[in-house]
Amino acid sequence: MEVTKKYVARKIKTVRWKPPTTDYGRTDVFITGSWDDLDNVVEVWQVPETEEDPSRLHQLPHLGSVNDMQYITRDMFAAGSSNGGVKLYQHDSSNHLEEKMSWDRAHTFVGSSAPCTALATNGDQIASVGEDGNLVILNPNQKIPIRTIESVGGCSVYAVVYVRASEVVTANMQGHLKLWDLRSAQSARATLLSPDQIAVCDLASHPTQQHLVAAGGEDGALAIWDMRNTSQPFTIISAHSGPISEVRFHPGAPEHVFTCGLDGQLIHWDASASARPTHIPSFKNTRDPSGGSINVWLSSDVARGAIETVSVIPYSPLPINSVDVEGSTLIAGSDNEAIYMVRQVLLY
Amino acid sequence: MSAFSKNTSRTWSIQDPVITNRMHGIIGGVSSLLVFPHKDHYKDDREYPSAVEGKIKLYQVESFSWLWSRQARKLINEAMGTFISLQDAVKEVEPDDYKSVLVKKCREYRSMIQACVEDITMCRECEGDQEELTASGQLLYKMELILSLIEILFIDKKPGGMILGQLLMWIRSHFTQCIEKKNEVMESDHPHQHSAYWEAVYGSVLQGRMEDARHMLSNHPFADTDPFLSIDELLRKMPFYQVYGGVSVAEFTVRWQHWQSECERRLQEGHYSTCHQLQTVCKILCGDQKTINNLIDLMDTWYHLMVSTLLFTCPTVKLFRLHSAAQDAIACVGGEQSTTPLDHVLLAAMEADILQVIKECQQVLDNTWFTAHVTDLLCHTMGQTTDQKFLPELRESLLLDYVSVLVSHCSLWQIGILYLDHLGPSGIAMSQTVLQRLPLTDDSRAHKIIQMASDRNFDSVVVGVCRVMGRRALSQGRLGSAIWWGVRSRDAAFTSHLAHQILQKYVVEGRFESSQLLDDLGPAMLLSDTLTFLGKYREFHMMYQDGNFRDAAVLLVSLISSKLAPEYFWPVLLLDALPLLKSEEPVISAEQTYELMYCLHNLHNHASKRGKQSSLENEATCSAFLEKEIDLRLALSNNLARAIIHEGSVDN
Repeated sequence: MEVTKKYVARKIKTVRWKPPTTDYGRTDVFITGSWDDLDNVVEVWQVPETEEDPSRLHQLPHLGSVNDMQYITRDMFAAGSSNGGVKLYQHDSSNHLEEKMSWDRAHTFVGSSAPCTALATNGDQIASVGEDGNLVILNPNQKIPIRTIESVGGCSVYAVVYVRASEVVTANMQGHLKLWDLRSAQSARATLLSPDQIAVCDLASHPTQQHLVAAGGEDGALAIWDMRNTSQPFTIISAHSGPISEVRFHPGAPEHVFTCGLDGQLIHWDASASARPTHIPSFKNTRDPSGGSINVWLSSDVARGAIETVSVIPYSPLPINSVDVEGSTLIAGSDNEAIYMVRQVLLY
Repeated sequence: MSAFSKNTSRTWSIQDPVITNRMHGIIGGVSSLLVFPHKDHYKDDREYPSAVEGKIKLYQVESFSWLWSRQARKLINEAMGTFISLQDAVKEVEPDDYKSVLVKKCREYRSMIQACVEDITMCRECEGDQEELTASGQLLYKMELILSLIEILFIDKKPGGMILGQLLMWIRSHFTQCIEKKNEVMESDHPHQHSAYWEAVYGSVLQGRMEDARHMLSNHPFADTDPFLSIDELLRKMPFYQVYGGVSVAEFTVRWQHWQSECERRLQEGHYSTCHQLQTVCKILCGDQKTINNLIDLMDTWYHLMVSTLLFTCPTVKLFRLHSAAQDAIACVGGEQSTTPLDHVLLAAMEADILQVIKECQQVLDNTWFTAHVTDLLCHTMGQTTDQKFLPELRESLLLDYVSVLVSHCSLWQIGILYLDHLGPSGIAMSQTVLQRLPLTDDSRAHKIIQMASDRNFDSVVVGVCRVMGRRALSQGRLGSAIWWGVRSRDAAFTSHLAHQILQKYVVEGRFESSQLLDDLGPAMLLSDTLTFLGKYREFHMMYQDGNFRDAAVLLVSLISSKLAPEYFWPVLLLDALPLLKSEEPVISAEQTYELMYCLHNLHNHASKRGKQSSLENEATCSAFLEKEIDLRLALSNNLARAIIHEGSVDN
């Protein structure tokens, strides 16, 4: 494992790999968004073949902090801003960014704008949540939101994730996870409660088993939820000493989870030991659901909390805000104005 | 020019004949000033034509620090890591390794400065304000030059105090012209005919790069002639002192004197009379002051001259003699008049005057980064050896200055806080003050501030931030969020206030807006009485909805008798009891009925007592209640009768 740290002169709030052009392809381009600066930017970076630092390809100014970014298609991503807007960018093959669409006041308080906190996408629509507590569904080709589900009480919503094409889970500051069926007009299908009102800061759904959702809490614990049993989380394991800022399943080897937190740690959760012996997880051949370890996260080992956790990068006293992993390379963005890059992250 | 303050709440007025009207200024923040011109208010507006008047603009003058430029941001962030690891390392390290830790950290600082210089050179090729980049580059170069000299003179002291070897390396790495020239010359078709050939040879010799000089000479067509062979031998045999070379100073001195007398002999015997350039080389080797001084154009600065002179006159020079050598060199290049502020820093360093070095640094570099970090390094170095009492205080104050620059920037406050952890009590105090005053733009920033504050056990800051967030949420009408922040801050008064608001809203509207929130309060409920009541009341609703009437009744009565409920809510509770009283199966016992009757009685008394004084609003609710009172009394007595019979029959 080799960790490189590149200083980029802005605090990084979001890092995302550009999806590979084919299912079996590799990607060497990622985007970052900054926060809390006088002039925030969205940037495109390329990782060179050699062991060098990533190099900047393109930069675009962005109004407000870039609170979240999600690719909708392979060349289109949405960015949620702290000024309440959601913007759609085209990311073409020459790695040039262009603004395609903008929903300027997707989230509002009475009379002012409310920060957008997280985005999710199922490939043809965008779900956006904000501190106003609303869940807004956007169609990339349509200026007016398809649907706005208003909250009661106005608890800030911090995370959103699609678990099926038409079902999203949102999580708010009170630690409530809500499952919404976007086809029906009714209110939430289910409410899942984290114990003790611990705010849920981020959600991630399992790439193949979408009923499995991992939630990173404000207390630094990772909760695994099985959406088929909404009464209590399957397990809760503590690892961070501060709020978890992001949770990611490895897209190709989902028995690996990565979390980063305000305590400056980036943790690799490796559940592969609890799986039956399988072939070595590699990016290419575990995409098919039949391969590999299907229920590792619902195994008894995980339930007991017996899971291997390793700190991936050297301790940093400042928060790590975002993490993304694709193939064997992990990237992370921190308040130390640095992008971390870890190659061969699964092999050590 | 006269400037004086008018005593109008910190608005300063500047009167100057040059400014047609007065100027005013207000201090707008730690580092900003609002300036605007004076405008008289005349009763008759027509006196001035409107075109002249125009609008009065407010100008915001902000102090700009080089540290805020993008080029410096990397330095700030990287230096933070080194600074913190240095503070931790000096606490833990064994005394033997102390020096090596400091040297290592000093080199880390130097390498990050060099990396910044490289970045700037790359930037210059593609984009940006060239002038600014050049200025940044020069600034960084100066910082690195000074820091490496400080490393040699103060931190990485070699046993025996022999410093020339290090000084030579310092000169070599900062004056690379001779190497560039050499490469240029050697790449040409006929090196010896190149105009800079001999300059490159002299330059190499003056920096003690004997191998380079020999390489160049061997490319001369006459390299096989006697004068060339002779000078080659001298260059090859020149002894260099190495601290760990296994040769004592005395033995080295003997060898060196022997070598130099050999040089002088060959010079006098006219070995080089055929080639005056070789003669110059040999004169340099002999330490001929006049020859070396004449080559000043190849050396640019007095410190290069000084090191080159020492190399051929006094290779075993010690630190305490460096100062006089520096003075001599300065005299050669034009004396004190021609010195720059940078020269003063270097001179002060050679005088081993730490305080002066720091003072001069503050003048030559317009940023607090360098002085703060250098003082920190020096403080740790000197803390081991001498009793320089002023250093710890100076370190603290300079680092505080640096932090105040960081925290006045909107994005660098986190780094500032990390520095403050290592600055003793005043650092902690400042840290608290800073965290309290950071603007709370959104939740994620608030969470980060809370995390930093709770890591440092600043409970009051955590509570303060939560309160601000809670009150803001309330003003935005987000009760749920407000309660969450209130519970978080453990602010009983605030949460009670919120709970009252929810209850009052319920009295008016008859439904809970944020029922979801109240259902799942959990242990947070216990924070305040009103919140507890609210939670329990909500629980009653749930039981009632589920058809669990008996438990609901018990809870309701206990809520009424416990007096947790605020008085304005009693009517609601009693009316809630009505359907339970009327239920087919008696669910409220005789005992409980008495409680309810007592409560109703009290309420009736209160209501009639206040009858006339109360406001219109209250009157309306009261009268509405009084209408139902008869109904309620009837139900109570019916239920009491039923309950007594029921209880009596069960008992039997």
